[in-house]
Amino acid sequence: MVGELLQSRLTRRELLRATVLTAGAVALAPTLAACGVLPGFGGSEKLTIWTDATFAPESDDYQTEEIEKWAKGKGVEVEITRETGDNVQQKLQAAVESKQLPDISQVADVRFTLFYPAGIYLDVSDLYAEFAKQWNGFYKPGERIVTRNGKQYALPYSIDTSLILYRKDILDEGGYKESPKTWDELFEVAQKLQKPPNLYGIGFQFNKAGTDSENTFFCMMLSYGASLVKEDSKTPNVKTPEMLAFLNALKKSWDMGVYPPGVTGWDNASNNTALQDEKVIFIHNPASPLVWFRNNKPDMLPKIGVSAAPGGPKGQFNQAYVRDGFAILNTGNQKKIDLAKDLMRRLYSNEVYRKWIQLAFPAPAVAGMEDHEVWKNPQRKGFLDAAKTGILQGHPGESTPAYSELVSRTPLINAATRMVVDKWSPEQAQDELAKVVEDVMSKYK
Amino acid sequence: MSVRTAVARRARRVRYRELTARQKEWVLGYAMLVPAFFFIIGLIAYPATWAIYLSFTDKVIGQVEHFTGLANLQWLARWPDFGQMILNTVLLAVVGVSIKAFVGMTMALALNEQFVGRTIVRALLFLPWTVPSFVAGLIWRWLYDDQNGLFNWFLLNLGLIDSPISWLGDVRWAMPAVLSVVVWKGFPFFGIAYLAGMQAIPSEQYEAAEVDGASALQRFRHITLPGLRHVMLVTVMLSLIWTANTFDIVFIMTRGGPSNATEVFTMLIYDQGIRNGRIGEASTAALMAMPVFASLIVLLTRYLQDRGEETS
Repeated sequence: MVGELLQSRLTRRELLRATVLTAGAVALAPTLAACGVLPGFGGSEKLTIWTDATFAPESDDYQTEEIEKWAKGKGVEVEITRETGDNVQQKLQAAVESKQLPDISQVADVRFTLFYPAGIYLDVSDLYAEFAKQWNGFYKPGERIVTRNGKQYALPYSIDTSLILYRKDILDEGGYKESPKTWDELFEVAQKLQKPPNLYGIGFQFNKAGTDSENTFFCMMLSYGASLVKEDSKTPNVKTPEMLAFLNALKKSWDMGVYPPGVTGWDNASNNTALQDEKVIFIHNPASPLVWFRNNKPDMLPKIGVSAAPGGPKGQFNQAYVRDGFAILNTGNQKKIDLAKDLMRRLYSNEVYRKWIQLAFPAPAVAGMEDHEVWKNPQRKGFLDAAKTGILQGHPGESTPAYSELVSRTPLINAATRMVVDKWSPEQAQDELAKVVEDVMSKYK
Repeated sequence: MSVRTAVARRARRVRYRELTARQKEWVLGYAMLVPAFFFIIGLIAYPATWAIYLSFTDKVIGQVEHFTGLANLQWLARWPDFGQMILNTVLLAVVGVSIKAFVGMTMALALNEQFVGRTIVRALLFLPWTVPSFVAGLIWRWLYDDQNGLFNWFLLNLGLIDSPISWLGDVRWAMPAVLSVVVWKGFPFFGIAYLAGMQAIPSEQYEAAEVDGASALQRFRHITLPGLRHVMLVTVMLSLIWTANTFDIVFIMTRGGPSNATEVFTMLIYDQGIRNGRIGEASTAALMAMPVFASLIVLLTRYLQDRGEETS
């Protein structure tokens, strides 16, 4: 064939055509390889890892270093991108639709729940069982999130929660030895100890930009015996006396004047700033302000107390969530899947996992780290206790895509702002809340 | 290559050779349009058609879509803040563009005069246009911050207020605060366009008017404004479309709050499309304003075509 070609005399037109075709093929090949049309073309076994940037950069850097060390040891090329959780979620959306998945993606519980129906996560029950054996099991909140039909599709790494962070020094001066145990008590203590306009009692955001308080109001709502949906995770449950009692209690706290006037415009950074600038006594937040105090105002750190969310007439609840977890994605490339599993073993190793927990602030997702010295610090111990007993988004039901969509509409913050900004009655706020829950749930029947 | 194909190609080549010069020019013209055609099909027509199709489906990221007819529109109509959202979007677009046009005109009039330091002033006034929207949002969010914002610090130190104003948390202030940033970011576009328009007006017209005793206001009304009519129309229409689609500034400054005081429809598109992956619903919300924008674009295009014909 080649000989014939060499012997034959090419016309100018044929030569031009051959040149154009060759150039086109050369230009197109990498594109096709990148799109997976030409599997194996390009040949590189680069492992792509999408991770989240957290509020504890030291732990992020340490994890990156460990991944790079592992890659060097294995002779593997890795591409690690570390971005905010929102960015990773957006990238994953595009990746799912274009079928250009990374090999590993970090997944928080909402992201896991959102993309699970797309079937992108690999069944990692084998690894899950291996790590469960190694670490004396996983805590329940993490296990419930990643388990579907008895199989695990992600590996929980840390469990975080919002707790009450408060000015211990101010409570001590006021004669309070510990943080209030009920919401009513919290509002009363805050009112008594505050010195407005320089120091207000409570820094909960009454604004949809401050999504932390959706979690806060969720814990408060549950403690009044109310819930947005019933145990079946589908049936709306808003029009109840318990919900009205919760809304009335929330409205009453507003009328007590314990919140700074600006909370109706606060975002997720504003409550941190208020505590850090010593302008409020109580906030409800994950550990980020503690990290800030450690790095910026270390003398203030011992003055910050940490306690569980207060209780109400029907109990006490802390919402727990998987903050860091890893999913191996269904790319169909077995070699890369095996490499990804090997990397997971490295990250769950005694040496790496313990050091990471020391640098990061949440609790581990595994039960076998309760002997870690970090829990001697009472500020951090609170997060471990909450990880063990915390309830999930969607309580008393499960964390479902429907509930994730509902939470994205910040229904409880909206009800609160209707009462305090638009001056609606609790009954009116309850009516609108019921409509929103019904609207979302009806789409998932 | 078969003999028959080779003969057929040669025949086609012969036919092309027989074309007249005008016909060849016509063929060449269309051939040169081919890249643009593929560009428009690939990057505009296909995504737009696909978005329209998706708006009639229940498409969720990673899942197969099903045709649902007008269900998404019904869902949109049930949205609790739908009316407020439309009102806020219209308010932001109409009031924002009006102020931008006014400030831009003032800027252009000032820069059209000769004065010392004009180049520096011109550069400074164009600066907001070059700042990315999300950066502008962050800067102004800090300026308006109720706890550590510059405006409150300034007013408190001057003794003009007793306690900080919650600019972004008070329904009376939130929309004006957002509007101020939209105007700040957008007025240089008007200024640049008007200045260019003013410099295209022949100076003889002003000189003749001055000889006839026309006042500055009369010269502005009877020469400058008519001379800028076309530029004004184009800038206002374009800015209306851009401002109605404002997202980043609102998202960063208020996220639609307090309550729903600054809620605009782009927030809904973000929440449903990006946060919840419900692309069908997000497409419906995104396309909701399309008829209005499309009408504006058709009017604008027709106007520009008419003007082009007049000029030629």
